[in-house]
Amino acid sequence: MTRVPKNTLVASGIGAATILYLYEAFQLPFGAARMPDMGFVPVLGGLLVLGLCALMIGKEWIFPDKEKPKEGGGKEAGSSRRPMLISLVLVSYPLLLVPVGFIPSTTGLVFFCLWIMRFRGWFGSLVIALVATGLAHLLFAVLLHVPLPKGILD
Amino acid sequence: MEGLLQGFAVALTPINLFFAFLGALLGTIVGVLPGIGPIGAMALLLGATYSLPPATALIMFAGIYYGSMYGGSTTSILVNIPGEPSSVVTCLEGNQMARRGRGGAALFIAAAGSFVAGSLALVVLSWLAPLLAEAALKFGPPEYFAISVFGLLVLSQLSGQGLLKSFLMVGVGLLLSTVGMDVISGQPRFDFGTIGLKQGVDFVPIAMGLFGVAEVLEVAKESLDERKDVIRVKLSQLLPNKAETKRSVGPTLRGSVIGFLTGLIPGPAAVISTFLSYTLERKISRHQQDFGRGAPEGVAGPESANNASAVGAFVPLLSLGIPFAPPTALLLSAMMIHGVTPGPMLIKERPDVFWGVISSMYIGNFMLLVLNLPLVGIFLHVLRTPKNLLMPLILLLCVVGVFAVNNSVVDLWIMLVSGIGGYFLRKMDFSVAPLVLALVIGPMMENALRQSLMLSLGSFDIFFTQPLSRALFLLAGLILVSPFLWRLTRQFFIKRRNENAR
Repeated sequence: MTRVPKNTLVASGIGAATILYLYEAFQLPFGAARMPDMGFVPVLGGLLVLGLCALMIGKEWIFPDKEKPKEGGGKEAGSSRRPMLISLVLVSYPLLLVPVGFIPSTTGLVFFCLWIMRFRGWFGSLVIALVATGLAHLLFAVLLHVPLPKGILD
Repeated sequence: MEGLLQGFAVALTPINLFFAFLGALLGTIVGVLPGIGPIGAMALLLGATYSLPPATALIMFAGIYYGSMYGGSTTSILVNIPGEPSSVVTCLEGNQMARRGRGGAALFIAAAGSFVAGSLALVVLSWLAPLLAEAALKFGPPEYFAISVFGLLVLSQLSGQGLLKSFLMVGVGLLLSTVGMDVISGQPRFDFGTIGLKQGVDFVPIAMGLFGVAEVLEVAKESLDERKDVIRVKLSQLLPNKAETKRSVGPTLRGSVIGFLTGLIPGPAAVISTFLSYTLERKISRHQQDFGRGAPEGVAGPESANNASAVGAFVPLLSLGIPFAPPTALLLSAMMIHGVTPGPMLIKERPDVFWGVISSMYIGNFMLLVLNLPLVGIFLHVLRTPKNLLMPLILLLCVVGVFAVNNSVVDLWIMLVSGIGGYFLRKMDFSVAPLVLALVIGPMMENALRQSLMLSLGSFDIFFTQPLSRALFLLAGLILVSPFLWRLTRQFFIKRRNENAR
C-alpha cells in the first residue's frame, strides 16, 4: 500500500475542515470592501487556507519530499499504544465530569494514566491518584472557590 | 524614572515579592525539567491566580518566563539535556566544561551572564517601552494591521519548518480566531448553537492542549524508565578562575546586545539568539581550539543572549500590546483575563501593572542569581522525578486549570481536541507556534483590516500610503524573498568560480 506523505495528510485534514468552515462562513453577511461585514475575513481567510492546502498537496505531488527513515530501521522509538490509550481516557473525562463529579472522575483519570504509564502497582497508583485529586480539590474548590462539579457526591 | 520608582513601590510589597520569588522558583523548576516549558506552566497556573491582583499575577508569570531561561542551563551543563530549546547550545560547551571538572564554574558563568544580561536588557526595556508606547498612540488601524502581518510573516520565516507549513498553521490560527463574537458588530458566528463557543475559542485551553496535553502524549510514547547521568558539583567549586572570568566578560556583553535585539523580532527569539551568539563567539574567539572542548565563551554568550531576549520580548507586548512569541502571547492572555488591556494606553491607565512588572523583573533577576547557585542540588533532585509520575500529574493540572478558567466543559473539549491534534501535528513535523500567535493576534488583525478598509472606502492603498505600514510591508517582503535571493546569489557565485577554475 502506498504511504500518504505527512504533509499531504495534514493538508487534506485541514482542507476538509476548512471546507466545512467555509460553508458556515458563506452563510454570514459578507458586506463589501468599503464596508466589510462579519463574513468578510472568514470567507477570505477560509479561501486562503484552502488555497494553501491545495498548494501543499500539489507541491507534494509534483516535488515529493523524501521523508528520512527513523533511526532503528524505520521503527518508531516508542509505542503509539500508550498515547492512544491516554487519549481515550482523556476523551471520556469531559463526558463523566458533570454526571459523576470532579473527585471520582479525576481520580479515575489520574489512576488510569499512572497505570498506562506503568507507575508502580495498581494500589500505589490509586493512592497517588486519590491524594493528587484531593489536593487539587482543596486548592481549587476550597481555597479558590472554583465550583467543581460534585456529581454523585452531592 | 518616576514610573520606575512607582514600580518598585509596587514590586517591593511583601505579597509581590513573594509571588516574584514563587514565579522565579517555578520558572527555574520548569526550565530544569525537560518537556514542560514556561507556556505550559503559565497556562496551568492561570486558573489559580484569579483571586490575585493583576499586578501580582503578572509579576509571577513574568518570573516563570525569565526563570525558565535560567533553569534550562543547569540540566544542559550537568546532564547534557537541554531543559528548554534555548539551552541546546549551552550543552555544547557547558557539558564539556562539567566533564573536565569545571561544572561549577560553568554554572556560575551561566548564572552571572544571565543576571548581567537580564539587568542590562531591563535598563533598555525601562527606557524603550514607554517611548514606543508613546509613539504607538499615533498608530491607526493600518499600522496595527501592518505590524500584525509583519510579525506573522517573520515568525513564519523563522520557525524553521518551511514557509508553506508555517503559513498553513498561521491560517488555521486565524480561522480559529474568528470563532465567537464578531469584534465590530458583536454578533456571534461559528458557535454552532453552543453557549461555550459564543465567547470564542479561548487561548488558554488551546495553549494547555498544544503545550501540556500534547507533551504528555509525546512523553507517553517514549521509553519511561531511562536513567540520567548527573555530574555532581560541590558548592566550593562554583567560582570560575581568573582566566575563565576574563574570557566570559566580552561574550556576556555581546550576548546581551544580540539577545535584546533578537527579542524584539517575532519568532523563537531565545533559540535564535543563542545560536547567533555562539556562532559569533566561535568566530571571534582567540581560543577557537577550545570550542567543542568546553570554552567558557560558549556558555557565557548564549546564556546571556537567551535571558536578554526574554526581556526584549516584553517591549512589543507592553508597549504595543502585540506578542511576538508564544510565551508573551500567554502573558497577554493572562493580562486580559485579569482585566488589564495591554497596549500603548497601559502605561497611562495601569502604571502600577506596567512599571510593577518591569521593576519586579529587576528584583526577580537578583533572586534568581541567589537562588540558582546554592540550590542547584535541589533542582537536580527535581530532574530525577520519574516521568511516569510527573506526566499524569501535569494532566491533572491541565484539566483542573482549564476548567477553572470559565467553569466550562466546552473548554475541556477544546483543550483535548487541540492536545490530540497538537500531538499529531508534532508527529507530522508541524510547529504550532505560528498557530498560537495567529490565534492571539487574529481578532486585532481582523479589526484593524476592516477598520482600515472602512476608512479608505474599500481601497487597499491605505496600507501603502502610511509610511510605517509601507515600510513594514516592504521589510516583510524583503525578509520573505531574502532566502531565495541569497540562494540565487550563491548559485551565481559558485557557477562563476567554477567557470574561472576551468
